[in-house]
This record gives sequence, structure tokens and C-alpha cells, in this order.
Amino acid sequence: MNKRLAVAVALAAAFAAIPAAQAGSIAPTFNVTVNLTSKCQVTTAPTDVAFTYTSFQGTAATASTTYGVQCTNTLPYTMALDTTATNTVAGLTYALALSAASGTGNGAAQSYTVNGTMAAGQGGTCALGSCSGTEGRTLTITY
Amino acid sequence: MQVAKAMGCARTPWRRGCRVGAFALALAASGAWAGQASVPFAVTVNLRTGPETGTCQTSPESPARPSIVSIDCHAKPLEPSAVPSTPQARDGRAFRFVIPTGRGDERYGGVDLYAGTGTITSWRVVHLSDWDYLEMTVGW
Repeated sequence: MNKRLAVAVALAAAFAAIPAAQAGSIAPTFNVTVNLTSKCQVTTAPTDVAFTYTSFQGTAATASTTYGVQCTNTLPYTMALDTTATNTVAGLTYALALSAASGTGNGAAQSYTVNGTMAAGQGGTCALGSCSGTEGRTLTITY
Repeated sequence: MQVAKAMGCARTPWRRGCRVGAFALALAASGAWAGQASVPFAVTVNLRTGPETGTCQTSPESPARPSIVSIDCHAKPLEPSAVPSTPQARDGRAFRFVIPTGRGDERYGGVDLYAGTGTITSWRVVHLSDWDYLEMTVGW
């Protein structure tokens, strides 16, 4: 009996050992790749820079508008206004300036301002009691 | 130049064009000109050439102190009844108006005078032989 038991135990052990011998693991590796295209977008477009001016007024007129820029995190960008020949509307010369000429994206919308000034003492061109004029401008974000 | 070398420009018969192309390729690959975002906006001007209207009145004058004249101006529309009957001339973009004063109880012209809002650019008291008056020039 002891011999048979010993054989049985030996067989059991042998069969038990078979799966253990086949349980090896493999660890294939692979990469997650991302091709990120950086981008900037204007989240809040500037509204009109609206001047109200009375001919020959004694103080300069100011007007401003804000806009928002959203760029990829750490992406540097620059901001610029287009150039016009005269910067003149209704015979009144004005100047625009940006609150910043460049920035670095942080993933969130960043706010900037377009500041406009119109010097004092200008007469303008108007045959009526009041006139209005408009000039289209363009803000460009380069990244 | 590395790009040009990689492209084998040295072995081509059109080396110059190859190098220019390689430079453009390298510039594009550098990401310096990744993109632009443009947005339009407008600059508007509302130009007023005429004055804001208002009403100026001399204060009730004290007969005892005829040389003191106070002028009280309000930025409100001109009342037709406030149009002065005193001499008034428009000179360029300014009104010149004359405020009469009197001697004792004697008064020249009307009491209620219309001027216009704006900046008093000059004023003076004119002394004449028989009466004095205040003259102001208002510009805007």
C-alpha cells in the first residue's frame, strides 16, 4: 500500500507540475503616441472700438475693447494689428495699441485689450451736425 | 544645410534650386509659422460738430448790486422762450453773446439768455462811456 501510495503521490505531483511549467508570462510593450497640433483661437472677438468725438474738443478721446485668446499650453504666440494707410475715420486720426504684443498659451482663455486714442483738437470732416464713420481692422494671432 | 545634404543636393545638377527647396522645407518643419488666427473688428467714430444745447440764465440781479451778474447753465434742451433777443452772432464754431448789465435799476436787454454748453474760452467786461457789459466767447 505504501508503494502504491507513493506512486500515486508521485504522479499527482508530476501532473501538478505540468501546468506550472507552462504558466510563463510575456510582457509585450507598445507605445502610446500623440501627434498634437498646437493651435491658438480667439475665444472672444473684439467688439467695436467706438469713439465719440466733438470737433475741436479739448481732451483726447479714448475707446477700447477686449478680446480673448486661447492657445495650447506653453505655445508662444504674437498678436498684431493690421496696418492702414491713414488710421483716419471721418477725418479724425486715431491710434490703436494692444495691451500686449505677445503671450504664452496656458490652455485657458487669456484676455487682452485694444486701446484706442484720438488726439484732442481735431476738426474732422462732417457737413452735418453729426456724422459717423467706420473702418474695418483685423487682429491677427500668429503662433 | 543638413536637409540639403540629406536630400542629396550636392549630387544633383540643379543644386541651387535643391538647396532653396531644402531651406523652405526646413523652415516649414521648424514650426515657426505654424498658423495664424485672424479676427476682424471695427473702429467707429461718432463725430459731433454741433454743440450740446443747454440753457444759461443770469441770476436774479439785485438792484443794489448791479455790477454782479451770475450765470447759471444747465445741460438741458433749449426752451424756445429762452432764445435771447440780445445781439448774438455766430463766429466759426463759437457763439459770441453779450450779456447786458445795467446801471442801478436800469437794465439792458433781456434777463434770460441762452448760451450753449462748452468751454468759456474768453470773457471780458467791456466798459463804455454810459454802460458796461460782459462779453464771453464759448467754444466747443
